[in-house]
Amino acid sequence: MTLAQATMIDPPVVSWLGIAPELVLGVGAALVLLIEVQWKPSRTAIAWAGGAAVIAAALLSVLLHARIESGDGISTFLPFAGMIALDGFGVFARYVLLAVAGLGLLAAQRMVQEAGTRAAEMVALMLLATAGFSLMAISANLILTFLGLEIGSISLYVLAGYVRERGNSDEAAIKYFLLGSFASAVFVYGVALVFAGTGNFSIQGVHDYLDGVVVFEPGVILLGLALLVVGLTFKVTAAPFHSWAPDVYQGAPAGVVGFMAAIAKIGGFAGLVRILVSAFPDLAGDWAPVVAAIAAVSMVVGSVLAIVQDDIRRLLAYSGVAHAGFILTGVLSGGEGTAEIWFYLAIYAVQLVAAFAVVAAVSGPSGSRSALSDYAGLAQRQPFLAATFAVILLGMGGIPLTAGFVAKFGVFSDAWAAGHEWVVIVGVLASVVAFFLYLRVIVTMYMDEPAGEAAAAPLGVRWVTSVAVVVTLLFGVFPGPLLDLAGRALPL
Amino acid sequence: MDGIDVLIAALRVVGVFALVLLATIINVWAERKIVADFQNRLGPMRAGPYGILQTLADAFKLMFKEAVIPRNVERLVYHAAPFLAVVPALLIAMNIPWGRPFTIGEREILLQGADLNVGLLFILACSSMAVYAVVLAGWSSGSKYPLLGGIRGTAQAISYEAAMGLALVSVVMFSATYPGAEGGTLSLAEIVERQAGTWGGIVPRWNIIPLIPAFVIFFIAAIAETNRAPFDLVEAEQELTGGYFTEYSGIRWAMFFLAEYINIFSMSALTATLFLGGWNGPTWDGVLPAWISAILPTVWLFLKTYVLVFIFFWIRATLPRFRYDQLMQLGWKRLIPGAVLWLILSTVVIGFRQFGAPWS
Amino acid sequence: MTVEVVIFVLMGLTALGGAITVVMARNPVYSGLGLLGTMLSLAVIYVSQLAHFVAAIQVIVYAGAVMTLFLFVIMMIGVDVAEDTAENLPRQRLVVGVLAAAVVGFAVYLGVSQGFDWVPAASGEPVAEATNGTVQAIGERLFSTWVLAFEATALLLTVAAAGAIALAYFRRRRAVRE
Repeated sequence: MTLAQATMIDPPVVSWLGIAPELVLGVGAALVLLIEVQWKPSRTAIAWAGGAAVIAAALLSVLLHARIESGDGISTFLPFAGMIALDGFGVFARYVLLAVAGLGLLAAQRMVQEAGTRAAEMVALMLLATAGFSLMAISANLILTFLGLEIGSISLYVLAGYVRERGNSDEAAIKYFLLGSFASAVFVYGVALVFAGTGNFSIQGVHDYLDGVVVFEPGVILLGLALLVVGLTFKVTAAPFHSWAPDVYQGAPAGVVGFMAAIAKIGGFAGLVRILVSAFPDLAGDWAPVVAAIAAVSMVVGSVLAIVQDDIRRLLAYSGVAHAGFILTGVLSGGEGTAEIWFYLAIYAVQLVAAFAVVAAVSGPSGSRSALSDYAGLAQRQPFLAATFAVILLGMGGIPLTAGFVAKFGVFSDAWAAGHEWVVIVGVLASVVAFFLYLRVIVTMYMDEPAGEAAAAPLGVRWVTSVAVVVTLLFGVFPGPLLDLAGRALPL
Repeated sequence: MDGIDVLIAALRVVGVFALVLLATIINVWAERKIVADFQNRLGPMRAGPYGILQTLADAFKLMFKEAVIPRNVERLVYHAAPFLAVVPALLIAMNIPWGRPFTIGEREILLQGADLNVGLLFILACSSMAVYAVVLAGWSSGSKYPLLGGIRGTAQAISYEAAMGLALVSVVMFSATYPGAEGGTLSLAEIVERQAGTWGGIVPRWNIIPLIPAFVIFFIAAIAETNRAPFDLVEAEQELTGGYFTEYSGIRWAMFFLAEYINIFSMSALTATLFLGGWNGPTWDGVLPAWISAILPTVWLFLKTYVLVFIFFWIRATLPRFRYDQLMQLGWKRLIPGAVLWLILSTVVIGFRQFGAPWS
Repeated sequence: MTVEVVIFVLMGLTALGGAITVVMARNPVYSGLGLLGTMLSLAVIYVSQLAHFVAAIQVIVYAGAVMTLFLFVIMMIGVDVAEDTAENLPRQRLVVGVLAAAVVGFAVYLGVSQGFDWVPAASGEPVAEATNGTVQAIGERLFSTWVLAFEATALLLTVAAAGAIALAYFRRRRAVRE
């Protein structure tokens, strides 16, 4: 055989820069694992290596962003035979994901220290989860979306069960794993049906097919679309597919819950928005009512059930359900709301990581003290932690002058403009209810008598909460730059 | 496909079946004689000349023996397990080209049950199905020794399957280097045909010469897959009173026995096919009468196969049984890394020779 | 009726039977065997679709390796432990059954009312290509169109390996059940 015959395989356009962040994360994870085996470095060094990989990936994302915006040296925006899309959407998703990964690593400092011989695996799994959801966000092909979803999800299943000393960590992991795999199976079945209906795996291809053909009998496509939506709304903990979240957030090790919750939401929403907005805009009339219903149910269920929780982790889980609902209202307006969705996701993800970092700091070495009563008088025991936590909670509640308000205002105004007024009304009512629940935590921290002793918050946690406070306040007062950046985060 | 084609296909299947049964009868006797020689004994001498009919006598005895079925067995699985042992063994034998295809009239007749374009994978699939017989027989017997044997068998089969598959990849890749070949092949008939000819007119173009590490790994894995000594922990008498078939007797036990010997024979034939040129060998077409030339390839294959069968028996008579941890060490820490290394090395060399340096 | 249809119906039935066995069997080993039956039936369907390579991989990987490991684990854990079938939530099964029926009914209604518009041989590639050595065809696709997805599975395997080690390599020093 000659070289000419050998190259009868049509090589796709390779864009190394296009997948560089994921490549760095994957290689970083492999290096962390290998170095740990060979040289047994200190756990701090392992965590720093993970951080270095995240920072390197972020720098490469910036470089990639510049290239995409200027169009320099990019022969196609759909390299690897259309498998990924080089667009603002993917780059912004990476910024958010990598920010969450960096903060998550900082917040998980203590857990890495306590993980003993398994510290390297933990850092590697966090990196791989980031890489997986990042692949999902940049994917322009349903198969790669599924692969990214699985890489990320499986890492999270393991992280949920990492602290085997605690029985409920095992329980959380197995619950998350069983329900999560079921959701993934639903998703992949949806992919199969969409393929059966449109003959395409690629998002562009599905869009073109639906654009060019009048489908008289779209039963298969609609069924597939419905299953895709179910699979992804499970990952972002939207009601009625949220029931796993409280148990998992409660049982999983405190150090990584914030990372888990935030990164799965980002990945899930990135996939959902890309699929709904880029692949199925022509069927918006079919999916918009369903998404509106899911959003409304999530907002109501999340806010109301969060009120009655006595455990801070369950409370944050239910409030996460409500937030998923708020973000979904942004999806209703089709492509118009993408910027606002990203703004919301970026702010909320940072807040979520920071909130759970506080939870981890308060819950102590055993990780068991997460009842709301443990927060009584936190302001006197740990003034800094309580103050930052209060700001973060106010930001989540969305009072004016915090970024949470800008974010909520953005998605609601989009949904209103798109003609889903009733969802917006439900949303505003739900945010009022949700606001009280955040207030309740703050009142407990500041008004109640102190209970228990003061455990010093690790430095990493202080950093994370400080960053979250800065983000919440800065973008609450000057949302312009971030809105501007998010405004360019449009799918191809 | 007309009636004659169907008849020929049926004849091929029946022929292979008869062949492996006959070979089994001979192999059982041969093993007893060979091991006896190693141990300075006589072995079976009474039934027929040199005891050659001993196996037949044993077979009849087993057939008419009462089959004792213990009370605790899971009936359905217990009865199915012996068949699960024999069927994959026969399927593997079906896929081996036992001789050169020849033509009668206009029909080309393959001396092979079936020539699949994924033949090699089919064989791997069959050999991975064979483990179910061990594991299910062990479990369904409802007693502890068979269960332990079954568990050992599963672990062993999974461990060595990986090394076996990896070793085969280089064979497939190397088949792409045959002059005029377009890409590699997974068909066994093709692999044999691509070992025809010589290098420099002297050395036969057999895969074993360039691929001897793969041959060694494959053959070790083949011994382990057939649960033969020194990898026969599955049926270690001293520890497990007989392993997974402890609770079997009579004809059901005989089927396990049969499956083991079919596997020895077909694994040897497979190794000969993949590495020793299969049925390739001098046939002196035109010099000798046509029917001799047609039979000679089969004879060559049998000669090669029996060399390997003898090695099977030789190893059994020589090496002591592995301990369980040694078995796992050898499988996971020696054979699999070795196979991967060899895979990388052979890929690079074959790629280099096929396509030239990547920078050229 | 062609041979293909007959095979599809037969194997579809055995696949479904196996799947039902997985769920209904009292003994986990029989569940495992049911799953094995399903996998083998699927492999036969693949063969009837001329996807020999996929069929062989199905048998080697799923039936040969994955299911063997499942059975291995079931037997190691011990199959004599009878499952506690008492329900904590009364009428849970009934509610779940009704809900599941409703969902399936809705899906069927959606399908029937909107109609099924399949796209045969959608991407416009000739089906006959499959006859000509499916291994080569799959190899070409794997290293051209799907190369990134193919490499991404490497990440998936790394996650699986690291995760398995992380969960299993744990000394129960101070196991505390809360």
